[in-house]
Amino acid sequence: MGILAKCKRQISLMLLVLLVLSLTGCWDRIEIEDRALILGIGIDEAEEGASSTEDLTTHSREEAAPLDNRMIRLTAQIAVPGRIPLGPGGNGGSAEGKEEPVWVVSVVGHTINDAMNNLQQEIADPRSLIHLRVIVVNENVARRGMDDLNDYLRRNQEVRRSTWLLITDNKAADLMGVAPPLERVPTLYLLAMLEKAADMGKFPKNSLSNYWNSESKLGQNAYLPYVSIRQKENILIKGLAYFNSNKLVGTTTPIEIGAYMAAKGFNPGGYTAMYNVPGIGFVTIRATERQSSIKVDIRNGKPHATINVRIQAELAEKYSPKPGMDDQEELNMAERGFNRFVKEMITSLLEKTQKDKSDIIGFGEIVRANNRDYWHKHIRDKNDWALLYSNMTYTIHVSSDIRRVGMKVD
Amino acid sequence: MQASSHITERQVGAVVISAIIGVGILALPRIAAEEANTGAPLVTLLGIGIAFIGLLLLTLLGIRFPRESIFEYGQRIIGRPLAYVFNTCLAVFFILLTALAVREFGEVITSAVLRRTPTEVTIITMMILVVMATRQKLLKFTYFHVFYLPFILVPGLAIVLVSLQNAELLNLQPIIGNIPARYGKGALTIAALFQPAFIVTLLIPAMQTPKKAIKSFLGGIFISGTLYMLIVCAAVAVFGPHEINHLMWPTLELARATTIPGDTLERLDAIFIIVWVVSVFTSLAASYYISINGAQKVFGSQDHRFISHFFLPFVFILAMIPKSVFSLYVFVEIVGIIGLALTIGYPFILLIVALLRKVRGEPHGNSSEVQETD
Repeated sequence: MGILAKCKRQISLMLLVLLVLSLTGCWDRIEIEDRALILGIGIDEAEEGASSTEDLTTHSREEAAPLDNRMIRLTAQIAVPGRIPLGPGGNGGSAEGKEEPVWVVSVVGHTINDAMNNLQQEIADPRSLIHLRVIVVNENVARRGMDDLNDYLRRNQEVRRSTWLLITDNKAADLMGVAPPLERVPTLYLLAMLEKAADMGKFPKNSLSNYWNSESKLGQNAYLPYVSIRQKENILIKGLAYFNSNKLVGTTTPIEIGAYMAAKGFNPGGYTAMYNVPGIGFVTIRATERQSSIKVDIRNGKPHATINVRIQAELAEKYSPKPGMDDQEELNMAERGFNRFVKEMITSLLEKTQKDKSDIIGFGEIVRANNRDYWHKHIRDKNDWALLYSNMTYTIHVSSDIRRVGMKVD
Repeated sequence: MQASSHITERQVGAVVISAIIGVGILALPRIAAEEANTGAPLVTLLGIGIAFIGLLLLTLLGIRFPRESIFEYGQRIIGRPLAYVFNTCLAVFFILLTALAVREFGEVITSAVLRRTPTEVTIITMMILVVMATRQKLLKFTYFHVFYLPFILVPGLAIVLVSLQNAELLNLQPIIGNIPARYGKGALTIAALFQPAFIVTLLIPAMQTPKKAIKSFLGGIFISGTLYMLIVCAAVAVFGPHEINHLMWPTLELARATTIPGDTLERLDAIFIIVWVVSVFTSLAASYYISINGAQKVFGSQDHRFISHFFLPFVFILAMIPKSVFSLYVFVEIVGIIGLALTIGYPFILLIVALLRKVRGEPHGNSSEVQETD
């Protein structure tokens, strides 16, 4: 009996040791130096005849033939471990000289994962998407549809939902190499730019998560930032790229981003409006805070939206012909002019998106939430709402309040 | 038996909570939203309601037979042969439940965290831990649950509340769900997630005053139900009911998508996984404990440690039967709903028959040795 008890003890001790071993997670350890950390991905259409030059890593030439006419070129920006400047101290030690902190690899493939496999075949370390921050997609690829890309990204457990997805009219590959002199890692520059734009009210916070959430909703369509390269090393936020059923259907101008944010009541306000006030001349007004309420009711069996926007603004500049601006009455005129301007901008944004059947504001979601029976009667899938939206009527009320005028009087 | 070795009603409540919160919370929002879209919170509430009724029956029986568990008073109410069949069914069912839960656990770990570790290893490691816990006597086993409970509840609640910063209220409207909203199946599947709480039947005989069990049961259901509701509301409000249908484990995605303001922590999934592993452990231990207790009665054996080891390979084999997560979830749904017939239907029959035949348990007297055997 005693021996048995002793044995039991030893057995459990052994088991314990075995279990402790399994706790360390050594099985899945990957050294940071042994990974190819992909920071950014650019996706373009592949050039003509790419299928004949492709490295066949996942398929035979005949097998993939049906996909030959929609091949993609994937450009990945890979971080070189140890060379990424971390924090302010990182770029101080200039001993490394001209060495590039990132490495850009470009491959073609039939699908995203096919391209990824071609890429892996070329580089030594296992690729890892855990630090993927930005994905840039060329607009031609986006017009073909984003479903396949979304499938890969949703399925991959390394991809974060806070990744930014961008649409560009340039080659996406070019954006992978754009970095102004101040920032050494192109993707991190792109990322900082978008995050700061969101902080300044230049663009809504709109990561992959928001894009997927809106795209899944029956009563709303998704949009993404639309960017472009200027002067070879600057990146311009060019507008909203809006979608219908995961296909890019149109883009806006930058000021229409402001109109969109006003209609949604997104804060802080960041856009400046320049317009002519009759009798006074041109003024520029910067929106500082936006509020909005949207109601949708059904009139004669059709949805009708009422958008109420309130904006607080400040006078930033007064331009010729009349030089000064110094009394409340003139300020009131400027406010009325601003109301008209904002209303026109929102109207033009709505008309544009109605024409393209893309409800980026999400009027449909309001109908779905409040008019259950109406929704059931008219909506079966996403296209049904897109059609209703394109014929929706609306009223827009804008009221503004110019509170600050700066430090000058005339 | 000393007074101090009784289980208090708070401890029973703690076991109920930590048994209920388990592997299922990861898929919970999807189960709710799949059938009833924005009505997901309502479906969850219905599910909690069904589970509530089942546990209420069990607690009432426990109070009526304060010195016995369902495996014993079943014999007195409907006779030995019939109770024998039901006891076997219960034991088999809880083994199946354990197996499916541990497999689900393995699937999550291999697809989300430890990509290169084989599922088998994860499953066996977890099951060995569970066996170690269930070898203990009931009192120590209770302490396990009580000890781990704060580690489950506090971070769990915190993560859900932080994630609410991205919530959109429109995603929860209309409350009853857009047509077509089906409540039945979702509610049953959610009620099935509460089944490890069946363990109260083993705890009541060890209480000093079994009448107080009703209090611990109400508290346990209330707290775990609140957490369930919060998780569903948060996930649906953040993602929207349609996006959830694309996500295998929406609660995990919720933790992945949530950042603590100020960019201190960019994703909370690491913390969440730790909390979740602990909660899986406690609820697995609960259902495994029920099954070995049932088997002990069926075999007429006194050696509960032996049975606890003996079942390990069976659980492992059963866990490896589903070929992939897809077929796993089909199994989970079927087993869960059939199990409800057993875990709610059987106590219901017992209670009715007991009332009709006026069978009563002996009052909770000086010594109860029922649970002292192991």
